Amino acid sequence: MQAEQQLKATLKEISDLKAALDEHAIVAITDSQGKITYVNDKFCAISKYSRHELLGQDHRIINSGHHSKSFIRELWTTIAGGKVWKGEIKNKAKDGTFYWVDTTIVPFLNEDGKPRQYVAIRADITSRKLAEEALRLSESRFRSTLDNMLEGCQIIGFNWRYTYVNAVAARQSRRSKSDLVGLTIMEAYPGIESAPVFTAIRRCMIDRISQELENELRYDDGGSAWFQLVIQPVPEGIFILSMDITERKRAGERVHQLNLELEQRVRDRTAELEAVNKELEAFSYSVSHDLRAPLRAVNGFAGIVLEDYGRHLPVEGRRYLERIQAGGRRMGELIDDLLALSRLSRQSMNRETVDIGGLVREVIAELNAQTDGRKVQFKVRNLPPCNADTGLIRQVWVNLITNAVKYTRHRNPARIQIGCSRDNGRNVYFVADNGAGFDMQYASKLFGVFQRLHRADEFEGTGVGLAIAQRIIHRHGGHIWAEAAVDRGATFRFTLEEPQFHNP
Amino acid sequence: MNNINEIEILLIEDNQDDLDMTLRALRNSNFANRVEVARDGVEALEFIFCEGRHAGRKRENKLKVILLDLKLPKMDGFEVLKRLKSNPETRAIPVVVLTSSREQRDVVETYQLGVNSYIVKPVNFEGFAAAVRDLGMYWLLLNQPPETAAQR
Repeated sequence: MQAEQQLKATLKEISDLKAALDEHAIVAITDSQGKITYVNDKFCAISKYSRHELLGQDHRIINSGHHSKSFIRELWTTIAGGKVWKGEIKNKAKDGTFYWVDTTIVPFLNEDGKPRQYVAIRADITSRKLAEEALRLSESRFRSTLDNMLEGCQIIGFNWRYTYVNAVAARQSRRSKSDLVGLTIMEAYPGIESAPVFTAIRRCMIDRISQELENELRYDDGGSAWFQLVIQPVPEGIFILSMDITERKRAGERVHQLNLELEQRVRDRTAELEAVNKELEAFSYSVSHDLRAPLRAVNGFAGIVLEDYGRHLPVEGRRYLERIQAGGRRMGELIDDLLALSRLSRQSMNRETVDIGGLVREVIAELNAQTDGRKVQFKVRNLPPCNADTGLIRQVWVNLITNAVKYTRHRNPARIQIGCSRDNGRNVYFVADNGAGFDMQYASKLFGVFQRLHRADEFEGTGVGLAIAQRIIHRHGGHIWAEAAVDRGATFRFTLEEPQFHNP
Repeated sequence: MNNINEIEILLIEDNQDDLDMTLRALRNSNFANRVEVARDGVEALEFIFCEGRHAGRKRENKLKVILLDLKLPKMDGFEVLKRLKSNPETRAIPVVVLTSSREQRDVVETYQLGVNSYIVKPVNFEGFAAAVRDLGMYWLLLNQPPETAAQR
C-alpha cells in the first residue's frame, strides 16, 4: 500500500516533469531502430507535420540534406554506443522551409546496456542561425570587396593585432597575409613605436580620430616606398587604407632636384656673367686709359715735328705726317665709339614716358647747326610719346637723324621725313631720307659693329652708330629694320613694343 | 732747376710722352719756368709737404695749380687728391685732373674727392696743346685764389 502510494507519487512527479519539458522543448522519442514513437506538440508545430504523419517514420522525414554523411554517421555511432550526443541540426519542415535546432539525444539503455530508445530534446535556434548566416554572408561579401580593392586594407584589433590584411596590403608590405594576421604591429615592424606613423595609429586607436599621413616604408633590402595612409576607427579597432604614392613622390623629388640644379646653374651662369662683365669693365677701363696714351704720343709728336721742323721737310714728308695724325685721329674715334658701345650694355635703364615729338625737334635743332649751311628740309609728322629711357632713346634719334643728314649730303634739297605709323597695334617710328641709300643685299650687315656699306672717302664714320641704335632698341624689347635702294634713299623703322596680335 | 719757391704749377705725370708734350705746351705759353714735375704720387706729396727729397724746401710756396694724372705708380691720383683735399693746409690749392679716361666713374669719384676741374687729354695734338695752354691761362692768370692759399 505504501509502495503503491509511493509509485503513484513518483508517476505523478514524472508526468509533471514531462509536462514541464513539453512546455519548454521540442521532444521526440524513437525506438532502437530509429522509428519515431513519440512527438510532442512543439515537435509537430515546428516540423509542420501532424503527429500521425510522424509516428512510425524515422528522422529522414525532416532531413534537410544540409549535413554531411559523416556528420550523421558520427551522431549514430555516438548514441548507438550509449552516449549522449549534442549538436546543432538543420531540419526541413513539411512545407520545405528549414529550421535549426539545438539538439541533445539521450539513449535509454536496457539491462544489457544496449539502447532501448532515444529521447531527443531540441530547442529552436533558427533565428540565431539565420542571423549568423546573414552575418557570414555579409562579412564574406565585405571581405571580398576589400580583397579586390586596389588600395591596401588592414584591420588592426584593439589588441594591436592584425585581424585582416588584403592582398594589396600584403604585397605593399612584402609579406604574406598569413604572416601578418595574428601579429601585433610592433611584432611586424619592430621599432615602429618611435615612428610618426605609430603616433597616428595610436591616436586613432585610442582617441578614435581619423588620421591621414604620408609614410615611407623601408624594406629589408634597403629599398623603400611611399604610402598615403588613411587611418579610421572601426568597431573592431582601426582600419588602414594605404595607397602607393612612390611614383608621385619620386617625381616630386625629381622636380625638386631639377629645380635645385636649375637654381645652381642660374647662380653659376650669373656668377660667370658677372665675372665676364667685370672683365669687360676692366678691359674697357684699361682701353680708356692705356690705349689713348700711346695714340696721343703718335699724334702729339707727329704734330710737334710738323710744328717745329715742318719748314725743313719736303711737302711729301709733311703730308705723310698729316696722314699719321689722321690715322691717329680715326683710331681715337674708334676707341671712343667702342667704349660708348660697351658702356651701353652696362648702363642701367630707367623707363619713363618720353615726349618723342619734343625730343626729335630738339635733336634736329642741334644737328641743324652742324649741316654746314646745307639745305636740309625736315618734315616731322605726329610723333606719339613712348615708354623708354630718355637718354638712351635720344641717342637712337641722334644716330638715325645724323645718318640721314650725312647720307643726303649730295642732295639738294635734302629731304628727311620723320613720323610714326601703326602696325599690328604698335607704334612704328621712322626716319626716311632721299640720300645715297644702300643695296638691300647688304642689309644684314647694317647693324654690325664697325660694319660700313660706304667707303670712308665717300662718307666718314666708324660704323658704330647703327649698332648702338640697335642695341638700345633691343634693350627696350623692340626691333629696328631698314629699307633702301642705291641712290634712292633709306628708311629706318623701329618699334619699342612687341606686336599685340598677329596677322593670319 | 728754377728758384724752387717760384713754382706755381706742380705737374704729376708718369708718362714721359705726355710729360714732354705738356711741358712743351706750357713752355710755348711761357709757363715752363714755374713748373715742378713729380713722377708718382709719393714724390708729389713729398714736394707739397716738404718731406723726403724736398725736406729742405721752404713751405711758403706759391703753388697755383696741381695738374694730376690718375694712373700713377706707387700712389695713384685718387689717393693724392684725397690727401690734399682732406688736409686743411692744402685743401685750397686747385687740383686739375688731367687724364686719358672719360670713364664716368672716374669723373664722379674725383669730384666727390673735391677736384676743381677734370680734363680729358685730347688724342689729337692741336686739342692737347690747346687744353694745356687754356688751363695754364685760367689757373695761373685768371683764377683768384682765396687769401689763405695765396699767402702760403
